[in-house]
Amino acid sequence: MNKVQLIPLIDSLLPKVYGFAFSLLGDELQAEQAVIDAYTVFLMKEKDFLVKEEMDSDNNRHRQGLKKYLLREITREVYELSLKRISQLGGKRKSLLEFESFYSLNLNKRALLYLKEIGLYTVSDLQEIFSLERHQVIETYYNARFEILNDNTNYTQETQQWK
Amino acid sequence: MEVVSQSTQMHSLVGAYVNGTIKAKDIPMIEGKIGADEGLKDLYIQKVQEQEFLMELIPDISVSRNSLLNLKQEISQITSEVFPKEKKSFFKEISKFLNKPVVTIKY
Repeated sequence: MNKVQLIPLIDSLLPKVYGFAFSLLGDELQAEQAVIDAYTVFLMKEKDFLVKEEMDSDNNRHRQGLKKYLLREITREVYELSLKRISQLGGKRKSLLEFESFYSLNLNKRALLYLKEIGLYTVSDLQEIFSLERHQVIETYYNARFEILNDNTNYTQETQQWK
Repeated sequence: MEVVSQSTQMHSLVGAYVNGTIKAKDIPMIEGKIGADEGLKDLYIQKVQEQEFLMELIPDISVSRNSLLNLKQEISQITSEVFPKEKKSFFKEISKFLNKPVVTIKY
């Protein structure tokens, strides 16, 4: 595969990867930087593999498989980088009011919930991204789901009491 | 006791069916049960509504046009810097050169 073949593939994945980075970091600039850095790290690691990989442009199945692999690996790098960065960002991150309960979850739960619900990843994809067992993925997902729904149910009940 | 645990299991399966964590082999069975049982049908509707509410709580932000352009430029630059340059075959270059006429005479 050469760079002329690789760039359009990566370009087509950017909106998804950016959306994920934003969900973790809650800031446009940070999300943009995370995508760039994650791609750089991924490319440095996988350069040799990508060069050897023969791109069969006519084979749609092969192309889709390659896209899925690229998306999964870059997503994993975004997550790893965000884990390191989130502690540096600390209280500086602007809290998005409408998604306050989402941002009150820890990064691990946020990442898993986002990829499951918005990214429509399967449990086995998530196992690979987070290097977890199936039961661990399901447990983290249900905990995140319970926390966010419970938080909002309490909030709705409280506001209704005040009315 | 067994009836209670069976019902709990059904409830969990309906939840898993709605949020997609169900195993593929259990899908036809749970679809059949939801279709046949009014209680499970109500539970299914309730779970779907809960799912829709959950979706509203998760940020699904689209990348802005400027950010996307910026990202594309950066990605292209990084790829050019990190990806090895293609080795050009000497013979291919020669054959390319020879395929084109060196001088064209216009009449």
